[in-house]
Amino acid sequence: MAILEVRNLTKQFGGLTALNDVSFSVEPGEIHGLIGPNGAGKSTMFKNIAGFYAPTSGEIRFDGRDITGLKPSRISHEGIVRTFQETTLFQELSVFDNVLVGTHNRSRTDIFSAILGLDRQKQREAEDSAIEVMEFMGLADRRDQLAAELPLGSQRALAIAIALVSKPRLMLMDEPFAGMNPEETGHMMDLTRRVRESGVTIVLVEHDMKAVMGLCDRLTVLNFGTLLARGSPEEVRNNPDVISAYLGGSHA
Amino acid sequence: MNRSALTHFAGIVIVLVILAVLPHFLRYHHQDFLIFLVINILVVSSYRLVTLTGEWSLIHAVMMGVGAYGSAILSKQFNVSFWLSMPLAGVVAGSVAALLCYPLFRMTQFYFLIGSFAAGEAIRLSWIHFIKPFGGTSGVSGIPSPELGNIDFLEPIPYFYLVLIIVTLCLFLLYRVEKSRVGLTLHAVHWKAPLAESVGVNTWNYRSLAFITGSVFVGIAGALKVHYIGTVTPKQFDIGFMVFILIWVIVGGYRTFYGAIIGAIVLSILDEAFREFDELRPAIYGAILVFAILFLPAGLESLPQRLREKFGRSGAKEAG
Repeated sequence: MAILEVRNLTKQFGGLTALNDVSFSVEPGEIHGLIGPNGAGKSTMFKNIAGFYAPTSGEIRFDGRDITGLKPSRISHEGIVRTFQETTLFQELSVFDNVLVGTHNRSRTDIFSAILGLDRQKQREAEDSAIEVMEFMGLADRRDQLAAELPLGSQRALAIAIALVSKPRLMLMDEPFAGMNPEETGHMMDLTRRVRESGVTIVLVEHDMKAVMGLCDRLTVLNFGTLLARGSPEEVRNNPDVISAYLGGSHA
Repeated sequence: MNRSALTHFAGIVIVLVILAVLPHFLRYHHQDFLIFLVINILVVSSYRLVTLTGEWSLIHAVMMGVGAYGSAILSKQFNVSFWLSMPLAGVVAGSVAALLCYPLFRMTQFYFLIGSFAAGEAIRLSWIHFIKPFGGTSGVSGIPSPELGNIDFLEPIPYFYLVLIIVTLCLFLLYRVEKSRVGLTLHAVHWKAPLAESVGVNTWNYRSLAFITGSVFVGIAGALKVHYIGTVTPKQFDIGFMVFILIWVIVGGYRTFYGAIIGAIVLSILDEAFREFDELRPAIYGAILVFAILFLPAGLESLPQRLREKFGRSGAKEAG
C-alpha cells in the first residue's frame, strides 16, 4: 500500500488555479521525485502535503489516514517532516541546539517539569538522539558552531538532521541541491541515500536533473498545475510530453 | 559543577551579598529606590520571557497592574493574607493573559504590538470606569502590608529583604525556563517559526505559553509594589511605564538573560542621579535611547566584548 496518496488535489488562489486535479502516490521506502518547469506547482504541492496550505479540494492520505487540511505541527506528529528551500535554519542557535529543537515531537516537555527539573531523563534522551543524528550526518565536529557560520553543504546537512531527529516516516525535501557545486551535490546524494536506507521514504522537489535522474526511483512530472507524466526516470526521460514541456516546443 | 558554572555561581553570590548589606548604608529615600529597582528587575526579566518568541507586547505594564489590583482587592476586601494574595496575583495575571491569548495571537509582529496596546488600554479603562471594585482614578488605597511575627514590613529594610528573596526566587525560575528545552523552543519559534512548525512545534501554544508565564511573574511584581506603597492606581501602569520597560530592555540588550537587568539598573541609577533636574529627565532618557541605538545597538550587554575587541585591536597595532 502506498505510504502517501494524493487524490484529485486542487488548490486555487482567488481565480488562479495552482494545482488542478493532481493525483499521485508514493510507495514506502522509495525516493520519489516531483519535477516540472518553473511555476508547475511543485512547491504548492509540498505546502499542501505539509499543511502550510489547505487544499481547495481533493484528499491527502498518509498511511491510510486522511490528513487533508491539518496544521503543520499536527502533520509532523503524523510522521511527515519537510525541509525548506534555501537554508532555513535557526541561524543564531548552535548546530547542537538546532538538532535538539527537532526532538520536540518525540520527547515532549512542559514548563513545570522544566522548572522543577523533572525532565532530566527526557533531556538526556533528546541530547543522545541529537548527537546520534549529528554523527550520522557528519556534523559531530561542528556541534557548537552557529548554524549561520556553516558552509552551504553543512547547512543543508543540518536542515536534514533537524528533520531526521524527529524520526519521520516521510521526508519532503524542497530543492536540496540548489546552488551546490558538483562535489557538494555528490555528497548530498550520498546523504539522501543514507537517509532512505535508515528507513525514511523521501519525496523531493528538484531542478538538478542529473541528481534527480541518479537518485529517484520514480518521478511525478507537473506542468502548469496539472499532472504531465508518472513513471521511472527512464520512462519520464523518453516521454514526448515531458520533452516538449521542458524544451518549450510543440509536438513535432 | 564545571568552572564557568562555578564563576557564575560565585558572581551571583557576591551580587546578592552586596545587595543584602547595601540598604544599611543608604538613606531612607534611597532605600525606597532600591526596593523599586529590585521589583523592576523582575518586571524586565519577565518581559524578556515574553519577547523570547519575537513578539514584543505593549501590555506588560498593564499585566503588572492586573496582579497588583488582584492582590490589593483580595487582601483588602476579602481579608486574604499577603502570603496568599501575592502568589494569587500571579495566578490572576496569568489567567487574564490566558484569556487574551485567543484574540491577541491571531496577530503577529506590528499588529500584535498594536493589538496588545489596545487590549491593555481596555483593561486600564475598566479600572477607571468600574469604580466598584477598582476605585476609579484614585484606585484602591489602604492596602495592608505583609504580616509575619513582629517584623514591621512598613519599614523599608525588612520589606527590601522580602522583595529580594522573592525576586531572586522568581529570577531563578525564569532562568531555568529559558535554559530548558522549553526555552530553546521559544528561541526556535522566534528565529524560524515555519521550521519549528515543520518539526511539530505548535507555535501558537508556545507564544501563548511565554505570554502567560511572563504575565504570572509580572503579576507577582505588581503585588510586591503595591503592598509596599499601600495604594494602586491606573496611572502606575500606563503606557509611560511601559515605555520605560522597553527602554530598559533595548538599552540593556535582549540577547542574554542579564542584558535587560543591566539596562534596568543602569538607567534607574542615572534617572535617580538626575532627580534634581526633574523637567529634563524625559529629554535625558530620550538622548540615552538615541545614543544607545546609534552607538551600542546590541545593548549594554555587548559592552565587555566591544571593549575587549577594541583593546585587542590597539594591542595588535602596538605589536605591529
